[in-house]
Amino acid sequence: MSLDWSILWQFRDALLSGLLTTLWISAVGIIGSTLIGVSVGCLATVPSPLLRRITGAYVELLRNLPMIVKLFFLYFIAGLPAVASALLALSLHQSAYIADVTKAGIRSIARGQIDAALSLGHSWTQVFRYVLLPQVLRVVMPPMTTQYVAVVKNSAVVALISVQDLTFETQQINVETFRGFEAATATTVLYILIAMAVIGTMTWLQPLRFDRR
Amino acid sequence: MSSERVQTMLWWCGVALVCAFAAESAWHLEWAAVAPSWLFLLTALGRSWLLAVVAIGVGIVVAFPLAVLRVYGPAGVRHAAVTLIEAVRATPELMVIFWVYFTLPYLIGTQVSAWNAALGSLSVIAAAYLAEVIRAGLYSVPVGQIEAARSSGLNAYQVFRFIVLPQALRNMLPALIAQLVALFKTTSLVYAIGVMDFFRAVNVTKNAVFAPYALYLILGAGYFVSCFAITRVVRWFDPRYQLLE
Amino acid sequence: MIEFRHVHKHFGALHVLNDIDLRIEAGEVVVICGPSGSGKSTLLRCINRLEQIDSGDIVVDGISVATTREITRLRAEVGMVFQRFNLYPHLSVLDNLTLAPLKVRGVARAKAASTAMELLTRVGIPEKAAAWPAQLSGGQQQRVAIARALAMQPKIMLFDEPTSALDPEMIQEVLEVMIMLAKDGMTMVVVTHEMGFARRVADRVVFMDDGRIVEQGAPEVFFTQAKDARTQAFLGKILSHV
Repeated sequence: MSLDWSILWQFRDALLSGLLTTLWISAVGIIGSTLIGVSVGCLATVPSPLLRRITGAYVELLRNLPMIVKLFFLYFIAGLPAVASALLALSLHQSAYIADVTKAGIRSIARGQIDAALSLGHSWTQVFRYVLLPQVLRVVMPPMTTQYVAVVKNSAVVALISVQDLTFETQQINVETFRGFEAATATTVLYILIAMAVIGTMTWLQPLRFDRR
Repeated sequence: MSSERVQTMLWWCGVALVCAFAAESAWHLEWAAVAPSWLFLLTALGRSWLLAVVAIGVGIVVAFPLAVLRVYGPAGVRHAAVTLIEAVRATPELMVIFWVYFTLPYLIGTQVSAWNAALGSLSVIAAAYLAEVIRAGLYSVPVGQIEAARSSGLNAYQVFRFIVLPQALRNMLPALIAQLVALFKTTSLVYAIGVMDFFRAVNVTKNAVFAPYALYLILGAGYFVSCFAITRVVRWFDPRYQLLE
Repeated sequence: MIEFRHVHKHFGALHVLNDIDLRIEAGEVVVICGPSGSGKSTLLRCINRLEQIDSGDIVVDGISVATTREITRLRAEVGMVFQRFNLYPHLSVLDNLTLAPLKVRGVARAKAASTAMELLTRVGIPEKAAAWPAQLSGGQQQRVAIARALAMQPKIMLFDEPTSALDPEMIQEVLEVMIMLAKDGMTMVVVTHEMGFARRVADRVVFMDDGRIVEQGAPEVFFTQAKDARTQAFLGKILSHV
């Protein structure tokens, strides 16, 4: 069992570019899935049976299919370019989970809060902006963090359609040097660091408890 | 007619329309080309399920002591367990599969088949997530139960075996099944190391036979119907459970 | 001031308000009591249209609740205090009080703050202005809730079982505030089981059962000479464990 860690230094450019690709793909994935997911989640709380079923169908459809199926569908069947397929698949996939998180978050705010605000004469817009939204944001931060880490993890799959992210570069190193173990260990550490960065950022952003602004 | 009734009718009309349209387009797909491969695809689907079920089985065996250490162990052991679990959970599943595939030969000394590497990596993934499910299950037993048991004279082991464990197992059953479904979806990634699972089988057939639309319909249906059916069954047992996998 | 005319409401098959006719004059303090499910909370919540009625009408200060297009303006004139306080957990006590005057009425911030401090003094806890709701006891939270409702200077105050969620030793402090309000001439509709409060300040006690108003009268008459058997049964149950 002879390990050769020097290949990491040798391929540092490839690893760096892979890292950057993973970072920006994850970032776009996070933004895209949040935009779509939160919209769908808000729609799901409207007391309309039709909307509830439509949003429910959207979530069920996307959740019961693996990420790789959506990715390959967009790339091979729909014929989109690799990067576009990657970003779209990533955003759509996670948006279903984020929609559920958003819906649960909004539902969890006690009805009494809305009653109190309405009884004081606030319009629905004001109720949403001053009473619901601040509370929903606080409640929804922890599950959102999990979802954002999931985006980073799912971004690895795009290597399978030859998008040159961190995982792709790991495979390349293995093909060229047969040092797959060293490369995989290094990139695993990198992914864990990215996940920790995401969690750290979200914790820093989060208004933690209800006794701090 | 109430707005609710109208909306429900509108919904089912829409569903009927979509089904009709889908059926019509599906009719014209290249089923004849695909038909000879049906057994091949079906066995591949079974193989995916086999991977998931075995991985969950092995995962439970590994996760259970891990979870017990996590909850009841001394501080150093607890921290080590947490670090291990969280490290695996923060790693992309595809990377875990690659890493195990690259590492196993070093550990065992000989070349490892893709199937075994797949099983190993999926078991590792399963164990990490199941450890958390089991931990949540153990915590879900109300403290009052434990206090009542202790005050009636049972020792710590007896409390665990007769009071905590049965209730924890019952409470964690929906989450366990959710993990099975999630793992089943994850098995699609073993495509990357050459295992002939359902996903690879469909892709192989696609390259051999020119019927991409029909095949991807089968692909989607295979995963969707499997997952949807199982989550529905769980929801029938426990309507309040939110399956977030 | 408030008039219910032939009001009906259903929750699905349940006829929760059954031909309600009720008049409440300005400055009156009316206590509504009755068993669970009698419709008393629903009746209260219909006044500011938190619940909508199926038929009939409710006229508040000359405005029809069922048909008005300016419900927010009406609601600003009607204050409501809830069983579970419903203070905004993400805002300080002072912000809880000033949010509505600032955003609904456009009151200047300084004026809103000073009014809020006056009200907090009136309910007895001015020192808690910078505190968060989670840091207050139940009785203090309810008093803040009353102050929050008063901050909009309403003409009518509605109370939906304001002391039912409180520990026994805190009920008195809230009732004291309500008695003070009553003595200052506020029009109040109070759903409660606190018959001691009713005896002290109520002008009228209304008994509801099964969606109907069964009996009503001045407290002295109501408690001692209840005519209907259901009223007597109910009073027997709740007066026995004072």
